[in-house]
Amino acid sequence: MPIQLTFEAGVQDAQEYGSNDVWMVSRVFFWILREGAAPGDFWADLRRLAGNKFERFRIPLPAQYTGPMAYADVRQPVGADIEMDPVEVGAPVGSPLPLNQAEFEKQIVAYYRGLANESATMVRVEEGRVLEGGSRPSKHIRLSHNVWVKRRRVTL
Amino acid sequence: MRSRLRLSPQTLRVLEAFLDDPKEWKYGYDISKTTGLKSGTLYPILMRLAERELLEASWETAEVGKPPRHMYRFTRNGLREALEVVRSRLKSRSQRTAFGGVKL
Repeated sequence: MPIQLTFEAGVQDAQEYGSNDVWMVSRVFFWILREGAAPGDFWADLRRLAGNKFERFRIPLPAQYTGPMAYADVRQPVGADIEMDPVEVGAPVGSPLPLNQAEFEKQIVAYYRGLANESATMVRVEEGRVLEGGSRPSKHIRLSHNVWVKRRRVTL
Repeated sequence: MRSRLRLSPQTLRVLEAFLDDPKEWKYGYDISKTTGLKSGTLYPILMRLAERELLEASWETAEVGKPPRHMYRFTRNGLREALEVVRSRLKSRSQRTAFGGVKL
């Protein structure tokens, strides 16, 4: 039976998800429509997984959100081309239904590549905190607004 | 001690773009145009170059109604390392040519 999956948002290249000198790790949030299930609380679910990262976005509520929100991590080597180079996909976390991993990977990679190149405003930098692992305080920059919001519904 | 930064082809393109005029501040947008790299690829590279103090970043004074933009340029160390990388690659390329394309 086909599964209707909705990608909602993501966070690109975040240290808290595992980005380091070797890997760029991003997290993509999604949910699956469960026919007959009670409506879920979209914002409560998103906050539970992502904290307040998306608070400043006015995400329109989906017409029929059943939740729960789930996520999967995608990663590429540092310096890789998001559009062209291979993307590794982690196992989905929190999915209420088993997914066809091959098909899921295909869809999430398409979503991720599209977003990462869609807009120059997706990734912003600002003067940041002292970097973890650094040898001394600095005026380094750090990605801090590296979040995106875009809804895309797919059928697996 | 931190590991050496992975020099992907994209990272090298960024370094070469800065080498065009090494003392000038450059916007991410300009680097994107020069290298052909989209923001999702470019900014993680700029971020890591800055983390390693190969680039320094500064806020452009914003005009009213416009968001401030970051500018980047080589640090002294960054320029030296970038030149070393380029020289090393040129040397490697000439050796390959001299020996009939056999990688040494």
